[in-house]
Amino acid sequence: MSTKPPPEHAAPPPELTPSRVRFWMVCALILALALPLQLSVDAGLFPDVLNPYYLHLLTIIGMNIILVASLNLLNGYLGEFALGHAGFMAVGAYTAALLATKALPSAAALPPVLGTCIILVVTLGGAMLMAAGIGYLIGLVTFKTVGDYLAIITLGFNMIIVNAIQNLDFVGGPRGFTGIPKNTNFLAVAVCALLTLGLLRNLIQSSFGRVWVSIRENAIAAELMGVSIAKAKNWAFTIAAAFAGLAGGLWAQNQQFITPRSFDYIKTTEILVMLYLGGMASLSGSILGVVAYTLLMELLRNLLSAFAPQLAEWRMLISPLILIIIMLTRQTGLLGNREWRWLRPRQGA
Amino acid sequence: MGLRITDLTKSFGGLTAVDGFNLELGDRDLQGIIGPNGAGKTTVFNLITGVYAPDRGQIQLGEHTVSGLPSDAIARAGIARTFQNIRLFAQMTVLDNITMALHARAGYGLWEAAFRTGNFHRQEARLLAESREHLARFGLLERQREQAGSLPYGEQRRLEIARALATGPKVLLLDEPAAGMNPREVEELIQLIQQVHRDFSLAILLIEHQLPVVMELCREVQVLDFGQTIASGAPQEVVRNPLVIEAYLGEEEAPA
Amino acid sequence: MDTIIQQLFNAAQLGAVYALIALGYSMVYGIIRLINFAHGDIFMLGGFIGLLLTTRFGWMPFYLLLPLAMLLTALVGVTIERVAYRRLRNAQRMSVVITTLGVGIFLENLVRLTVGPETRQIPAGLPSAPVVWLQQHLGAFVTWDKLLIILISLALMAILWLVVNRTLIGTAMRAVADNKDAVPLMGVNLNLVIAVTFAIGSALAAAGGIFYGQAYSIDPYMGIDLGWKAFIAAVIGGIGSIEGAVLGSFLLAGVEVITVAYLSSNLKNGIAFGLLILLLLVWPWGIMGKPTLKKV
Ligand SMILES: Nc1ncnc2c1ncn2[C@@H]1O[C@H](COP(=O)(O)OP(=O)(O)OP(=O)(O)O)[C@@H](O)[C@H]1O
Ligand SMILES: [Mg+2]
Repeated sequence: MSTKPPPEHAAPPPELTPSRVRFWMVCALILALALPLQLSVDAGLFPDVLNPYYLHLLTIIGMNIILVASLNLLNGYLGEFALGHAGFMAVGAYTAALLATKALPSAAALPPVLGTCIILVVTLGGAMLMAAGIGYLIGLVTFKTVGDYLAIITLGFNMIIVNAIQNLDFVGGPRGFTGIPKNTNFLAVAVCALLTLGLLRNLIQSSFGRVWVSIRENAIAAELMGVSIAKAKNWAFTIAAAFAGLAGGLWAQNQQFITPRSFDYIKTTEILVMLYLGGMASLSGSILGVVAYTLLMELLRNLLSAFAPQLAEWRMLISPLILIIIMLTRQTGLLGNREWRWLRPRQGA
Repeated sequence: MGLRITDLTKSFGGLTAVDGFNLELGDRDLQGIIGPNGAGKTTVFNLITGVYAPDRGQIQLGEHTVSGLPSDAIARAGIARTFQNIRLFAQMTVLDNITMALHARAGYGLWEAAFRTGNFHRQEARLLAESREHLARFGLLERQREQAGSLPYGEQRRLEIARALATGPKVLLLDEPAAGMNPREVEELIQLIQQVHRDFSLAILLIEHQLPVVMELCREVQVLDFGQTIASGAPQEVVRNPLVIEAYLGEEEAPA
Repeated sequence: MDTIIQQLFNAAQLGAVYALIALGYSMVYGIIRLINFAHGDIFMLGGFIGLLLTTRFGWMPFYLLLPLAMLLTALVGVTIERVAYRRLRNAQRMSVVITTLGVGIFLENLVRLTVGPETRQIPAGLPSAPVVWLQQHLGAFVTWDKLLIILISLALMAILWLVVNRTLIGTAMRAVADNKDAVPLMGVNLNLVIAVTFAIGSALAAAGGIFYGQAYSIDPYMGIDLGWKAFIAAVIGGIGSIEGAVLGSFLLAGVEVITVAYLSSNLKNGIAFGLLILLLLVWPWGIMGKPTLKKV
């Protein structure tokens, strides 16, 4: 039989080229860099080189990676068009904020490092559970809708969540939630982002992931292979929502101030821009998309404000243009359907 | 554990696509359905697999009534099918198309997959070995890493049969498996179906436009026309039935 | 009694604006199965074009200003379709939808950065005196501009209905909606039909924007909120159906006016979206939409 070369965007064979760089090695490397970085910035060492602002940028990148990678599960692998990711983020953010301020003692009352860790585990765990619960319920009611209507319904839920929070006085209503303790730092975000990537990678490269992709490829065939589409989708929604909740929990405890407005349609669209820039059905793409977008926006801000300070805002015009240009020229994004080797697990050990 | 269908009926608007269809498909039977275009053959498959709900009639798999169940439950009960217009998971690899079909027997849960436990690795290895075995049987092992959508047509049809078989069905429904194949491929397909029928313990129901395929494979066929069974019996007799000849001549393309 | 009639007019005015937007969503969806997420921002842009015209050319009477703003907005709509959507007509559906999202955000930011983020009102072009007859006979306080907005909107919808059902281009539009692939075979210029659809939709949205700017106020982000409301209205009525879009708009406006009057204005968005979700769950194709069958 003749062997045809696989087309350009073919998923690369998993175990043909066993990578020597493994996922845990990358994790170890990043953490080995992150820990001293965090400590020296906290200690105010080398203030000229280690500007806390850069660390802040890295923190934002980490949180956005969690958001984008988890949305990729729905929009890339499952092939749905979910538009409500910021809503789950909001649920996570408000849950974590409530837990941190109302339910838990402040970190000062606990042993130094361990105390913060416990607080983080509880608040983030609560954020994930709550978001997952809401995601599960939304998945339950929307199980029949697909395509355009799913997009509408998920966005509708996003708006309802934001609207509901605006009407809840005990979380500050439209004025926002203030006075959240700063329990999160770059290190915590890095750990969470790596954990998210690892777990998502494992799920995608399992029977669950194959079922999700098969639904994207041909829902009727998948159903007639015995897949309960509603159940599989609901799992994906729940998991994606949980991770969005995680990002929200981190966000709240990093920014220390949240308002319902920060989780509306604009935020969802920003997540989408990064997702499509990086590429669908690729965790590597999600990472690259977030990094590229964040750096580009920073670059533009500096570049534009070098001309005139008020010009910096004009970068907001560039971001939608990028989205449009990607769609017109390279719909698979930077890395659609392809994966860096260290994100491909070995198969059938 | 065969398939028993009584009085199966389905209308679309004013058109009765399937009208009082009956079938007795024994344990290891291999039967055929033929009929001109638009006769209602695919609709019978769609009714059996729960794509459409029947207006009337009953479908039994062994002791169990499957009519009225959702498609995925019917599939899990042991009915697998292929499609007239191929429905592979085009962007997945050939191997993954098969491994996916083993999902119901994955043998690990979500947590085990998320944390890659020992059991996960063991079960995955088993799934992989089983999938490769299937591919080897269908002569597709060399293609395992290619995208299913990039295979030539004949191989896509084979892969679809392999995928259906991987679910471990008791009844296999094949909708025009020889469509679009050249004579050599058709010959291979006939052997393949005979081999599947011999090696697996299952019943096969086959829709086919090309009469030679049916003549060679099936002991018994039903002829549908405008939703009704106009003849049934051994293929050699059925094709001599004047009603059948008329139904086929009513169409442009008379069968060979 | 009088307040009920006043509320009725409030609902009719809001419904008229929704309908002017919803028609664009519905027509575009009917013809190329595209949810044009930028359409709400076209509505916003129409309002701002109207504002610019009134401030620059204050002498211009309303009956000249309105068509001029509609024409300019139609040009923008057609240009966007030509530049950003046409190339994606045969691409994956979601690519176009995402592109429309991008176009929408682009327009919002463009207006915010050039005109400013403030909320503004379009100076009155319509008389704002109360309608004496209504006051005397029904005891309801209804201003002329409100009545005129409702009447002009209804007139525009009637014209649209005539165009779609009684002209050659309307016939072509309906043909494309029925079967896009067969139309080029019948000698109809598909690009032209789609461009006309975008032009009409954008022009109607511009009228909506100007009316809204007169009755309430405009700001660069109003397209999101109102666009979504109108979209909901279109879906409620059955997206793709012109009559449905109008019906859904008045229905939604009625529900909203009641919510604000008897519950709380904070709840109106939540209730609108709740209504949408409920409706889609029990009635996935809307009131006047047609169901599609899956084919195997
Ligand atoms: N979902 C549907 N809606 C309306 N009519 C349908 C539907 N599915 C099938 N039909 C009609 O039912 C009749 C039988 O169709 P079916 O596909 O079963 O024929 P077939 O025997 O498989 O023909 P072919 O040899 O062309 O595959 C046809 O007239 C077809 O148009
Ligand atoms: Mg058929």
